[in-house]
Amino acid sequence: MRTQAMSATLAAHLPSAQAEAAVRADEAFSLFAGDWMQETYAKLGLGSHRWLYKTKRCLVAVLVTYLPMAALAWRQGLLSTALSPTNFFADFAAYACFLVGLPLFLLAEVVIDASTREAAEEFVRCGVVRGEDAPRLLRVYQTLRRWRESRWPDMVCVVLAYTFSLAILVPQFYGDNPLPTWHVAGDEVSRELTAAGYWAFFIALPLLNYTWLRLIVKTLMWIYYLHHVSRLRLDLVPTHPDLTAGIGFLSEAQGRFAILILAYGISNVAAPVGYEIAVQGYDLGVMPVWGPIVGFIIGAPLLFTLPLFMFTKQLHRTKKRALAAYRERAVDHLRSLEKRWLHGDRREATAEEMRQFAEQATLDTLYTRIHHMRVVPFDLRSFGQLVGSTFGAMSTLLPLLHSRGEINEVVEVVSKLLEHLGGH
Amino acid sequence: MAFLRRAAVRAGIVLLALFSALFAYAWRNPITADSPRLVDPARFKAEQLDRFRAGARDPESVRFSGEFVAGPRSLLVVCGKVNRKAEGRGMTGLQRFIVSPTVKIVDGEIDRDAMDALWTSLCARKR
Repeated sequence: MRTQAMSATLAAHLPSAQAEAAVRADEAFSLFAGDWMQETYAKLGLGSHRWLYKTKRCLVAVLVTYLPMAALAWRQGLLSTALSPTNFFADFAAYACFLVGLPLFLLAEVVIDASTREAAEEFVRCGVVRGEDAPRLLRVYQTLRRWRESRWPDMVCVVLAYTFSLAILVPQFYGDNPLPTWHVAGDEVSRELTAAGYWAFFIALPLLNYTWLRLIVKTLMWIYYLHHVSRLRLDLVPTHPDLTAGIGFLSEAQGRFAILILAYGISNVAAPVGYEIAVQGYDLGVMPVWGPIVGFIIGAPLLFTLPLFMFTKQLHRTKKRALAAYRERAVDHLRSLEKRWLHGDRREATAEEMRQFAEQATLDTLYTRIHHMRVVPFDLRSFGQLVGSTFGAMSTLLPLLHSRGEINEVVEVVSKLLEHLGGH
Repeated sequence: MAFLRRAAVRAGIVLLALFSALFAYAWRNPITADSPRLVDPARFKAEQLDRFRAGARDPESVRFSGEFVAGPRSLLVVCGKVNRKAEGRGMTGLQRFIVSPTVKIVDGEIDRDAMDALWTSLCARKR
């Protein structure tokens, strides 16, 4: 229903023949509709968009990943009261990945799908994309549909998912100094996967990897869409109260990617780093430990902010033109007002003069809006969402660092950095 | 039979079969305290040093230096030097030590030649 409504919105801006074709093909923007995973959900009876089914997807994911590993680990005796790498139940990275990260990735899909659809619809409905550019936009939609329906991106994701999984497994067999873990049993002479290890490396971890890799592909598709839209001659309104010439909705859509950052940060950064510190006894000062944290803190918000700079050129030009037009108009207006009120005879204002005052006040408001217009369609609230999710994911490490007395070290480094940045 | 044609049912059956096979494997190959297992040198070292410190007269005064894990897998030891509070006043000065889950030897507590021999045989093979 929603796709039909969206394709109808687009079709309203198209020449009649193309409009009919667009509506017939249900050609509307979507990053997810009809892709392989959506088809699989539908086949498994989990395709509905109702929250009950979304919750069911999360439960099924946990049921297929974590619970079998826990049962197998328990059966094989990979449990103890010690915080050791051979104790499956001490591996809080597994809790974070499969009980928190994986469900969050599944929910992120729903949130991102809705927000990107809404943003794409706004571009057409608000007339930001001009009618004459609708055919070009339609071609972008068609390309996105082809990519969605193609099996190749999913195949690549599956291959990468297994590659990443094996990249963790192989060193445990052939590395120089393999360490004991719950995945692999045995000694230097002979080693074999535990039952939980088989499930982890061939089912659970690839499934987790596939889930986030798929979302990365969708993010790239979204960037592709933004790139093409930013190259159209947009009908921007510099006096728009959203202070981004009428495309403020993009900021909101981009802010929704915060849930993806949170899920990725918890499952792929905080969890492995926490495991290395608490279970494997690594020091926070070692580059392989702090490197991913720093990289994530810098890279994650940037990845979702930088694409919006593609609109900067158009926004800057629009702002410049609007300011020039305003100045021309305002100077004429103000000259006439000054002539009458500063240098003319003092007497009661006529209705016409009162109208002129009101017009000037409106011009002042418009000027303020143009003056404050941002040349990047991003506001502090959305940026705060992205940064908040980044630090939120990393904050899960704080209790661990506190218990090891390393929190003071972190605070010291951050204060020094802030001091340095502040130039004190 | 129509029931079996449903994708969810088929996927469930495949996963259940895999799980059952692995469950049987886990049942037949339990991992016990006696099972062969890899040693994490960092963890082993930390455990042995903690044990050494706990057994000292004044654990707070114990300072290790140049400690390392050595020996074959069957007889892993931690070798190094230790300085700690002496029985009278002052510190003992740096003394060689060898510690393992079953052994704790410090220079001066046994004959010097015997310590040299043990050091050569146990601590030569660093891990």
